[in-house]
Amino acid sequence: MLDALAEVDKCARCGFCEAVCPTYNALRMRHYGPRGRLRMARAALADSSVSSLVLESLATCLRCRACELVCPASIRIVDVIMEARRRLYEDPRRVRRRA
Amino acid sequence: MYQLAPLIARAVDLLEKVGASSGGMRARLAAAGAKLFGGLILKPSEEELRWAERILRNIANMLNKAGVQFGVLKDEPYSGALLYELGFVDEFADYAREVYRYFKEHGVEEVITVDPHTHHVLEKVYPEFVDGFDIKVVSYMDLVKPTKANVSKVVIHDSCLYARYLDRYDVYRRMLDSVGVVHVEDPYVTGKAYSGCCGGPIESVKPDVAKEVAKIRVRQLARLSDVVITVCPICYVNLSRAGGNIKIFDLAEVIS
Repeated sequence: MLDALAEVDKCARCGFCEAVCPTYNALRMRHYGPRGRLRMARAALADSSVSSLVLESLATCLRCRACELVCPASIRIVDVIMEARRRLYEDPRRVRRRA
Repeated sequence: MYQLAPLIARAVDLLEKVGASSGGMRARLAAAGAKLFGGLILKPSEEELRWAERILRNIANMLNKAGVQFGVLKDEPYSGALLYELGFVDEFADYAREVYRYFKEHGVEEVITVDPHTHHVLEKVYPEFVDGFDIKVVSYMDLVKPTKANVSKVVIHDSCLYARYLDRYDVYRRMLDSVGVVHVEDPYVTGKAYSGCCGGPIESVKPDVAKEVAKIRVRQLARLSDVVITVCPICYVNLSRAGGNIKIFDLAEVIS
């Protein structure tokens, strides 16, 4: 059983994952890269309501796993994102719309 | 999934044109329009349908040549891969159980897959969600023995699923080797860890971002060869949307 929060907390924020992430390289926005997505996943897993940026970040992961192959902490990044995304979709009312 | 690819291409173009990436009213209108008039506005051209049929017929011919006995279901069910990949896990679980029931009703004991998305969900995901799932899943790549090719030098665009989920990175390389096709490699472009995604998995969520990812990928591949080989219909569709001076072929278009 995946302890998604424990996986998130393994992240040392080294940023190796960003070098190989296709969406981060396309947009150069942190929430479009694995390091940012792990922080967004933490919010989706632990907070009662989240910004729509969290949804945008988690919904745009390609699940390509390039990040996992270079992560020095061997974090199961895609599984964490999938779990966080599932929890958000269970109750979409948790997502606050941007003004 | 090859049969679906031309339709997906149309749908993504439409989503992009109506600005679905920004969500809101325009995206909702596009969804309602697609539901009402999808049969008309998303209808693929004859040429696109022939592309899918040509690939599937070639795979069937190669399987026959290899002595594999197989049949094709009249109403072949979709695997539900998109539901799972977009994160609609509960809906996927219900759908997967229905597909399994359909397979059992039709006496299916083994499935030959022709694309990585179907292979991944049937082999790796169905057993997690369907109690007693006992259908053997095998890829056509593990069965066929091609003897010729109509290209000589190519660059391979890997499917993320084949390369990093299903351990098949070497399988289609060996197939190309066996028919004398040179595949140009660069560890930062075609290596197992660094081969970039085409962007396809988010083409229905953010078509503009998916296209941007594809453009970067096409630029990387074009540095190695102007003939690109894909092994997945979603990769073929999304890379084709990116433009660029390259020719894209599916593996099953170039070997026989």
